Amino acid sequence: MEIFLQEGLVLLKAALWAVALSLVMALVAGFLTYLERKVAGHMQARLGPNRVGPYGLLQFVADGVKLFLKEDLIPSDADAPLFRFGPYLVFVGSFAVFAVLPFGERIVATDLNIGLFYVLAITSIETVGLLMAGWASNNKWALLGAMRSAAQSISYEIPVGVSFLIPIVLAGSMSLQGIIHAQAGGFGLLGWNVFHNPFSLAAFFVGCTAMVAEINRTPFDLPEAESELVAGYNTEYSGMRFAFFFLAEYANIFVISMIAAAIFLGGWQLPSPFKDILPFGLVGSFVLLAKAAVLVFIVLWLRWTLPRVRVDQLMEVCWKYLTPMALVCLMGTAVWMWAFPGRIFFGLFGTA
Amino acid sequence: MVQSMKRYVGNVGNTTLTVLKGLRVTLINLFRTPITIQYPEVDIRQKDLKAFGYKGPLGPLPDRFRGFLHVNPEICIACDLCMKACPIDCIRIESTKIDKTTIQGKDGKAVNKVKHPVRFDIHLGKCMYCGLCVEPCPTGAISFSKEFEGATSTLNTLVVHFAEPKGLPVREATIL
Ligand code: SF4
Ligand code: SF4
Repeated sequence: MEIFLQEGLVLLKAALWAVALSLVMALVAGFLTYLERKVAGHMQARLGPNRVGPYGLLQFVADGVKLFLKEDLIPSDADAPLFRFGPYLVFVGSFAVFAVLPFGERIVATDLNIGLFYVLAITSIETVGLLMAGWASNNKWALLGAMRSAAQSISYEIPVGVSFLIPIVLAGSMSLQGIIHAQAGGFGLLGWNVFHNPFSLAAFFVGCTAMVAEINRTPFDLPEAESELVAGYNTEYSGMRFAFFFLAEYANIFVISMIAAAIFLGGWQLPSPFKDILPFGLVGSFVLLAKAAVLVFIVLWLRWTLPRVRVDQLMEVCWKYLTPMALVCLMGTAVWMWAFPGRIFFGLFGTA
Repeated sequence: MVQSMKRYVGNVGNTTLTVLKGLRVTLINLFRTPITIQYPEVDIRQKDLKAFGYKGPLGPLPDRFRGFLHVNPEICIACDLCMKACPIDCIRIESTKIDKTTIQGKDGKAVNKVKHPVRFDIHLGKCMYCGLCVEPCPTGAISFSKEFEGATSTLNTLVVHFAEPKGLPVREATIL
């Protein structure tokens, strides 16, 4: 009896987290679509959405309702089961990462001991989903987009993985919370992994570039390249299924920003006097979210600045530049740790 | 070897530098005053857009803006010049003889008025706003206004009657 009760409680907790996280994901992704249009607008001396709600803030709700009410279209020559399944796989790949995202010192759905590895692994499902969607659409644009996306994600997995290894090496842990804990000290700033040594600083930029490429954002948005492929893998999609792609795409921006902020920028680390102002380490949560917000803005900013790279350039950037650089950073960090053990901020300070 | 290493590092440096340059440009533009005029709220037909809270660099409609045509039948001498000038025949004029009066012309000279338009229809749905009818008019009776909101659900409402025979019922609009 008791065992059932315990199991039930675990399940209930999991279900509650799932509901909460899906709400967070929907809100964040929705808000990001608004933010992207607003940033794009102002960068082009326009206003961006400003009609629905105050400052157009409810625009994404209107868009969501519109997509929800649209006709459910499946092209007659499409492979219907795969066509239906693709978007959900993409969505799941993105949503599953939220399970290990540390929102604060004590706010995390589950702190897996292989957290970062899990992130790398589960996001690969998205590629399968995109490939499925592109293949099932039975459309040349979609197939080309899907193929590009597969090539891109497989290639960029490597620099991302290698640059993830650097915080792992520094912390001696794969859990996201463990990595954040390891960045303590130095007024919550000097302990950041990005400041540990010159190699980790370089690794931060290499990793962020690679992550931007992995989620198919401009300037690496070849899978959907509007000017060449209509809309790439989601050419044939409309209504709710399109919304799932869209949701995953924008949630991914948030996900990579959170992960980069957690593993390189000190996560929720704070100088000790500020830690307990609010319960549950909420101050730290705000700090983490602020860091993520800055990174999100940079991702949007890049999109409205840079043109899209060519396919050959894309591969060149990955294999000739990012991958070797990430490897050098990894080795450099290892050597640094051996040469200056237990020191932070470019070896200038000892750990407290 | 040294050469290719140099090129490699140069490429990385170049990429970083150009990306930063681009980011600078977009960041500067981010804080520029938006140029958008919030049209129905800001009435661009008015002279002073600032009064509506518009901060951008654009001005109101220019003086030579070609909106809907407007006709003042009082000074129209029914010479039919505009009707003949129109390349797509969207003006229709019917006139009646009246006692002679004089009208101040566009160039300042007096113009004799011996006819008065009893019907002056312009099909604004067909008009292409070329202005060929405005130019030959001796009295300036026909001119462009700044009105441009012509959305309608029936095409006939775009046939505007500038003169109606007095005492007669308003004619059904006809597509010219
Ligand atoms: S503006 Fe041109 S098209 Fe319109 S009524 Fe005059 S002459 Fe005809
Ligand atoms: S040209 Fe001028 S005066 Fe002559 S009919 Fe047309 S509007 Fe009247």
